[in-house]
Amino acid sequence: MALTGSLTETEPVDVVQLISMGRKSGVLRVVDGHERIEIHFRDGQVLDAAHGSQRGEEVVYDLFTRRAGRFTFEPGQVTAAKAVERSVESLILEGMRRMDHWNEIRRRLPDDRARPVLAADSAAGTEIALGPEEGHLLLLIDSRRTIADVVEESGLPRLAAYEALDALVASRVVRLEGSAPSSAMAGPEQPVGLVGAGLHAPNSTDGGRPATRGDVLEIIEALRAL
Amino acid sequence: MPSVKIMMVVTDGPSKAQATEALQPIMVTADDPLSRRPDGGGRERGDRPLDFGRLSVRPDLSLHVYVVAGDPRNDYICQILIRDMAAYALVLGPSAEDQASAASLLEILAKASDRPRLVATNWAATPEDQAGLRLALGLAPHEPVAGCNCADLGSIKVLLIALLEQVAATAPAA
Repeated sequence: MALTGSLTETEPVDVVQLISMGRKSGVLRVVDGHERIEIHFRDGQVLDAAHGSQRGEEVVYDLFTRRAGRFTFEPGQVTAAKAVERSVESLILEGMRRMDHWNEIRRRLPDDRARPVLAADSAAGTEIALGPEEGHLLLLIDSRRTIADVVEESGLPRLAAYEALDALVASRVVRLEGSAPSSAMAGPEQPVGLVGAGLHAPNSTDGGRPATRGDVLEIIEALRAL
Repeated sequence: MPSVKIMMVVTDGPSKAQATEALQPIMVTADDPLSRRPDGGGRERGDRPLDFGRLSVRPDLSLHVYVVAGDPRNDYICQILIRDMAAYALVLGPSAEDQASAASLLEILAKASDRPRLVATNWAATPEDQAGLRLALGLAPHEPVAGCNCADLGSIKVLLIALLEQVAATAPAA
């Protein structure tokens, strides 16, 4: 049975964790506007993730930043090769770290409809070191493209693109025009949500032996004694 | 490693949060650092769709309790979890909305699983209340309607023990 829902109501990290907890195999597809993200799972672990030309774990972190779009999880056997080595638990931990950084950046760049504009005058006389991502983005900044356009056309992982743009604005190489206060496409800041602490559960299928009546009675006795 | 997994679905978020809180003294639950962001922020217990608790009876035997807020938006969580559960309890509040949620959830859960279950009220229901509830939820005459104060660990323990006794009755002897 397919699992479907909206990312405005369910956070991507919760969806990923549920699939992991259920040790499901199948493909999670997210459609956000005209963007498509696919994550392949086997026994609850991520095998591969794809978003346009991007592949691998960066796509999973990208997914965690989404607050719009619809998801569908189609259970079934997957044939994708293992391209993501990290466990889901590790992906989520790293995703949380990045989400904090992401939220900071989104506070400074809240409106995807704003247009980045080269602000050569304000940077005049200062020497600015640009990283490859910043340099790449600069080529796309033409006073017409919006932040969303620049990020999408850059082909960079989403977080990397926003980081680069944030750096350009911070160094006053670029300024933003038409920025609406806190009406971000991403909506109000959302805390990272996790479905409890299920990550640390010893798995019931590990070791193979199911619980017997004696085990259950032992648990009952332990509960009574507490 | 054998373990027993049971699910407790509570029809309203605040009561679900109370249940998680009440379980704190005996289980590893939401104190886990993964449920909090490094800056101390994060989703409050009452807002989280699901909490997880583990009671380790011995190194190779544990009880897992999944506490789910029975909001219709979380139906999919119940649908996924139920397949892996030994049993489930549905605890509902006194409002008409709680009853409606409970009826819908029971239908979903019963379709997905024939595992043992218990329905409980998070208020002191009279025998008349219980009879009305049994009718409204389509429970069999022999199905008890228990009481469970979600703010009280002792009360939750009684519910979990009753649920586990049903599991024990159907578990393999060895």
